[in-house]
Amino acid sequence: MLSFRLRFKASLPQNLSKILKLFATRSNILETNSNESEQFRVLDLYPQTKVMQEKRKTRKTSIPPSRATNMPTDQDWPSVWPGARTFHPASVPLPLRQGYQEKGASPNKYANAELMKIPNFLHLTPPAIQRHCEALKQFCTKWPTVLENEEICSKHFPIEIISSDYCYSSPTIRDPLARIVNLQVKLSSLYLDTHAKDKLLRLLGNKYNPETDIITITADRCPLRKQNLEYAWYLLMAVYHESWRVESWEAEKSIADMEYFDWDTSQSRTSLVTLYTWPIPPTDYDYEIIPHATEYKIAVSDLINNGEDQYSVNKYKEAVKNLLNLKCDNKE
Amino acid sequence: MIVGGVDPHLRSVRLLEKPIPHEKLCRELIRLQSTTASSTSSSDIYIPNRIERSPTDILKALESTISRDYTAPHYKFHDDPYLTPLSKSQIRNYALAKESGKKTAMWIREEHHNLFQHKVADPEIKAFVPPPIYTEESKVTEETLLYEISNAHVSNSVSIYNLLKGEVTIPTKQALLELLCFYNHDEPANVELLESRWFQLREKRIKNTWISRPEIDILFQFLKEQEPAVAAAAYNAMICGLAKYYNGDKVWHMYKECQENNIPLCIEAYNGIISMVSILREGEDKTKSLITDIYKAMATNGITPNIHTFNAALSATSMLKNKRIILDLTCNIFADIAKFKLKPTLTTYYYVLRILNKFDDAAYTPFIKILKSLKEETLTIQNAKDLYFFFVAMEMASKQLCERQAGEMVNELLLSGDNYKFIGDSYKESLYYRAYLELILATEEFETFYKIYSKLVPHVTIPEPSVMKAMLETLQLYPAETAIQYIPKLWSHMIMFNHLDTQYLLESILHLMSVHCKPVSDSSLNAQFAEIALIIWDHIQTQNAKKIQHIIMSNTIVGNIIVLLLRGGNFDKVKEILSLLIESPHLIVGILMEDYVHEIFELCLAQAHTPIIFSLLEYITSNHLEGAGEMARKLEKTISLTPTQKDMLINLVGNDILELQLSNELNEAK
Repeated sequence: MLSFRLRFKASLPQNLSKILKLFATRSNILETNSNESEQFRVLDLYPQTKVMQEKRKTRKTSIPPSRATNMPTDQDWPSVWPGARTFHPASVPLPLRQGYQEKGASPNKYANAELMKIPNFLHLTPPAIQRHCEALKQFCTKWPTVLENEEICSKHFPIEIISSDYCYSSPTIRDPLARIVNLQVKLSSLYLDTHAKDKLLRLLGNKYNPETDIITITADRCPLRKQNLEYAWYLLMAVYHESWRVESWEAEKSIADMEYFDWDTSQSRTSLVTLYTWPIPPTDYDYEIIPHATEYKIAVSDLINNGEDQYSVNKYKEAVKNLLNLKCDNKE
Repeated sequence: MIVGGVDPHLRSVRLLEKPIPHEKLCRELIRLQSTTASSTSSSDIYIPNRIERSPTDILKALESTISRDYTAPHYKFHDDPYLTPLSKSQIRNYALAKESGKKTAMWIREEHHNLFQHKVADPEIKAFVPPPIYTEESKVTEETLLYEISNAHVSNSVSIYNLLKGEVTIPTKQALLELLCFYNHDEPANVELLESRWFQLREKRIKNTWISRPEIDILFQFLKEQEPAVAAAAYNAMICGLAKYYNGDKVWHMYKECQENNIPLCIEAYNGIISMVSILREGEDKTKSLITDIYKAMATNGITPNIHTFNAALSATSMLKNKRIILDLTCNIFADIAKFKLKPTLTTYYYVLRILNKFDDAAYTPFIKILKSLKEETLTIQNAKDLYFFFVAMEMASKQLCERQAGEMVNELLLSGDNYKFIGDSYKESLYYRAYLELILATEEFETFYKIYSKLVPHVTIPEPSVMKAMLETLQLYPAETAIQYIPKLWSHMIMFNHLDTQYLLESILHLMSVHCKPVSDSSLNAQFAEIALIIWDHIQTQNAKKIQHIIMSNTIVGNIIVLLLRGGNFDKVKEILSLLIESPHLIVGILMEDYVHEIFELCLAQAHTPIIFSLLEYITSNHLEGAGEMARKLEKTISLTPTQKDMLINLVGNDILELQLSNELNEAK
């Protein structure tokens, strides 16, 4: 600013008018600017030439036509699309359309996200699968002729062992879930008597599925699959042999310990026979001679074993009525 | 994610394989079953053993169902038109760019090795672990040294050896000497970086590249003084290393030393010595006696030669010039190979081809015989020179024999089985395909050639300018109707493969368009050809704008461009070109030829386009060409000119010619 003043003084006589004019225009501009920001004022003696920024030229890239246009009609498709891959319009010579538009036809295959989203099976065409099967046959052995159907298989090989292998892209090949081993066997394929079966089911608890008749033993407490497998085998053996063993305390089982109501050993039977032969005390508790006794037995057992509901209560009522020879008045 | 449960077949196998404790229950189960089962007993069931397979066998089997898809780029590139490389330079750039990512990762792993000490991989992946750094503080033992030697880390091994102050056992010293002799001055090539190797240009000239390192000398001096067996091993290592790096004189010196001191050498050392015979340059006649001497030395030491011995002898033979000696030696060598019941390798045949190269047409029968015998064999790689066989064979079939049958046999052999790996590197591959395409072009109709060409180009190979030139020149031999079909295809390929900077190709295709396949004046082809000419002109101009050194076009190129543009009716551009030629005549070689000048004149006259004619006249006068007066007269006659135009004409050609003309006219009028 100082230098300007000096120059201003020096050149005052010559170009006074010019400078005045300049000041007038400058002050106008500065006034408008000072409202906006409170910075030092800048004196521009020469108006700044606007530097025209050149637009960046977009380089033209020449794109060859998609290779789908060059494909012969008798080409070997499995070689063109050998593996699972996201859909690509330039490699698939099919006029595919996918998606929805309000008006007009569905969008075509180019830049179509709908086609890229869905998994395709272009690599698994029937000829490709057939060829894969032919190629893999060299690693397969013949199926044993005797094992014709599933029934025979499960008969000869009743035990099924299920474990899972995991395969994904990661530096480690270990997966903790691979250690879990499932051992399945049908209850009917084990040799058991009533006691053993009863004991086995008690021991198994929820490991037994009564609907499918399958015992499932899952072992996952050891770190390795082999250890888990051996443990599962051990568990099956242990539970099997344990169920066959009869302990001395099992003879001490009283009615209160019974897991179900047995009418033959119950008080109900004694009472019924005693009542029937009354006043003579019964010599044996044979209930066959009592009319409707079997019906009564079934009704009582059902009522206690299966729980009370309208049906069983009604049945019991009918049985008692029949037994006591009480007939409905209106019926008579 | 879950690969699968167990299928019943496998399950049963597992069941049978169970060890003792479960066997009892198992047997019990099966026994109980069979008591109830009436039809079959378990003894009838025979479960076959599992067929052994390696982890990749299934993948290989599936891969065998796939054949090469010629419409797709190589699998290392993206299968997408935007990302597919189109020219040779793009192929190289894209592939190496991809690999440079790998290299960057390696560099970061080395540079920041402290950040890569975590171990996530199980089992450990060696490639993820940063290479160890050995400093003064690090505790090293002989085991570390042996480990590094087994991993072929030359610099690490040397630094550990120095840290140990050379206090290691003799076998370790021998191992280190062998390592240093094998790699000498360079580190082993990284096997991960396939692309770098593929595009690497190898040293072609045979020259001594052995660098004498102090470590090698010290180790060798020490081992030499030990007991004979150790000394012999040291000599073996040194001779093999020196032979590998073509230090012929030193090899020979050591060989003499061994002979004097009765040191027994191994077969590899002898092979190295034989391969050095040609380098010694002892003269044609001496080669044979030298080889015989070495044979004798081998025989006295009780060493049986292997195929590499004879390969080395053949390589020495192939360097000779005297055909009689060559023939003689080759026969001897093959008799020896038969005597020792050895199987010739590809290297053997490569040297035989090099020898056959000298015999012109007589080579045909042995060439076919070699191919036939190779067809029945499964080839395995045994020598670095194996990679030279195929391209040399194809070049022979193309240039020396010029026989399609022979070329096809070579190609079939290359494509059969796993043989494509013998193609070598990108340089050899392009040499191979250049020879193949040239052979077919020379021996077949263009149509047949084009079928094969369109199958191979652009994804298998990209034709070099020389092939393109041969194609364009061949097209000139065909009638115009045939040639015209192929011009657009070849033109688009020329653009694609960046051949627009190659002058002789532009010349050929412009000649084809303007002279050989000249379309009739009202054909739509004229406009298309004019478009091509325009592209060429624009390309040259943009190149000139970019570079300091201008492209100097030949006069035929410019002439043809102008003619094509005129035929296509693009007068403005012609005007521009002519004014550029007048302004800067240094841009073309020489001046426009008279034929072109006349044609340009005629074409403009027919369209009555005076500005161009004036420019042309200006060009003619400025270059002192003949015929300006004649043209001016013709122009005067055919087109009625305005007074200003007449003035310009007078300025250009001078008054006297026009005066003469005017006076003639006056005379006629009288």
